Amino acid sequence: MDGGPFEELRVLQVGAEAVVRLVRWNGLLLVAKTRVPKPYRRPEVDHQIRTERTEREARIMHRAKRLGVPCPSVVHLELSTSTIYMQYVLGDDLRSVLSRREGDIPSIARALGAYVARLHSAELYHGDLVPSNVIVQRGKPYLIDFGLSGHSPDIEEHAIDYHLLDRSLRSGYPEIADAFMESFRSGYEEVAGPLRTREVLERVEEIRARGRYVERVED
Amino acid sequence: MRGEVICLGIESSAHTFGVGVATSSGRILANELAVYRPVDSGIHPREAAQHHASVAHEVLERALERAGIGLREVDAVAFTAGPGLGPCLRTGATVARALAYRLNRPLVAVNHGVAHIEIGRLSTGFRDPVVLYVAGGNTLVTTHNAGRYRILGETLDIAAGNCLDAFGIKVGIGPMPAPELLASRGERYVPLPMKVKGMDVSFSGLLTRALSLARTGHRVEDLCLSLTEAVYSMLTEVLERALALTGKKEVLVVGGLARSRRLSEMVSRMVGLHGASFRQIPDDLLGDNGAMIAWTGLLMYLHGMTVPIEESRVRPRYRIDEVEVPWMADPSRS
Repeated sequence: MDGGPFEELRVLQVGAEAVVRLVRWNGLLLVAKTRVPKPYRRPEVDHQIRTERTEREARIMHRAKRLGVPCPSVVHLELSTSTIYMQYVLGDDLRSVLSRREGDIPSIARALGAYVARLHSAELYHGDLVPSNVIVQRGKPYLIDFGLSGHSPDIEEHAIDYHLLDRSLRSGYPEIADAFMESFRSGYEEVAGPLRTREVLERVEEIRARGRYVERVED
Repeated sequence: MRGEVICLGIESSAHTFGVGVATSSGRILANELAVYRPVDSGIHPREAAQHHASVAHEVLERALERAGIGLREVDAVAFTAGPGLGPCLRTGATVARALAYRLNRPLVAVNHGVAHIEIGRLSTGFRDPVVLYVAGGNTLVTTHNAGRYRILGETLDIAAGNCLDAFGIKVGIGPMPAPELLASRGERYVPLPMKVKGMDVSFSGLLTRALSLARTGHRVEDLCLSLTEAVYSMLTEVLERALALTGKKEVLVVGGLARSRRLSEMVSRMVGLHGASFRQIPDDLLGDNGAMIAWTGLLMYLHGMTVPIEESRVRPRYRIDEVEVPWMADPSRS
């Protein structure tokens, strides 16, 4: 990339899928997210997954940014190593905000609901909407980790975002899950409108019921 | 006088009618079964239930003979309450109720998924594993937290086993293990859509694509290879996410699809990357069986979790996280 080399600062996170490093480039602090090869997968499968997700993450993040949804700006993409270089968003992840019960949680939830609805209105979905993928900076939620995101008009994909957030709150923060999701819903509804919101919530119920015992495909 | 408590367990949630006998010291005295095998296609619930009713007596006799006990020595009778196919579950429940009534012994209603995990823990010695439960009708990732097995991820549509079975049946090679066996003759990987959402997975799009590729002339062997690799990669990935999230160090794969050698191999390699350990459950305790119901029934019975006969209905959509597992909090038992 032009403008000199990246200066490695430190490893921020070693996740199940990717290694996230803090680097400096031309005086700017950037995050470098590298999807690491998984030796348990067939090489073709591994390559397909890493390339698809890296490309998709950069593309959808860029579109989300243009919609005014707070998320890191993509600075550079390096497909040969499945690495994205992006803006470093300083803040706490939503998990720690929720555990410490700090800040105006209803307002964070409402803003998050509105941003997610904005993505959905543009036929985008996040695909991994859980508290660890939300960074709170001065009370404003930023969405990160778009690796499982995508473009689809299908209400199912939008309902899955809603379902994932709801379930992860219920398993991780059962005492505040209801209040959080209520604020989230009101923010969502402000953007998506009551009709669409109801449709999405009906589909969420359907997904939940489906998981209860999966029907077999019969001949 | 013997010092052990004995529980007899009956499994009948799907293809298998099984009767097992377990003791409070963790011995499996018997694990007998008969399996309904439809010739043409997938399972027909009514036919499977008829099969179970017709073999029940004989399987029960065999189990008692193998255990070397008489019916009177049974302290509690357990059955699979769900999840599963209604007609099949009702057949097993009816046999269990009749036995409990005739012997005047307590009845225990067992969750099938919990039973898979408990027999896995018993047979591997693992205490607090992250569990991938994969079978014809179930796909989920679960682990114990605060008194229950919590669902970390699950399928959003069809089960992994169902996806592979349905593909095999529709292309004319038959259900698992046929697709995996044929995969070994595959030469080329055809990219298929792998839909992972957080720790959830979706297989219906994958199945549809594989079937449409089969119709447009792709080699079935190549598609078997691609489909099994895609399904197992997805399962291993969500299991890896769960392992990373919980920081636990033990991994079990339970349910009929745990028999897959390729899946075991992938899980084993993945687990190694995380410094965790993976142990395989003996084959006879992997698929649906009566021993797992007997053993879990015993744990429940020892914790007072019995059910009056008149309230012992079956629950085809019984979720794993609805069940309290107090024995997990008691180190002497786990």
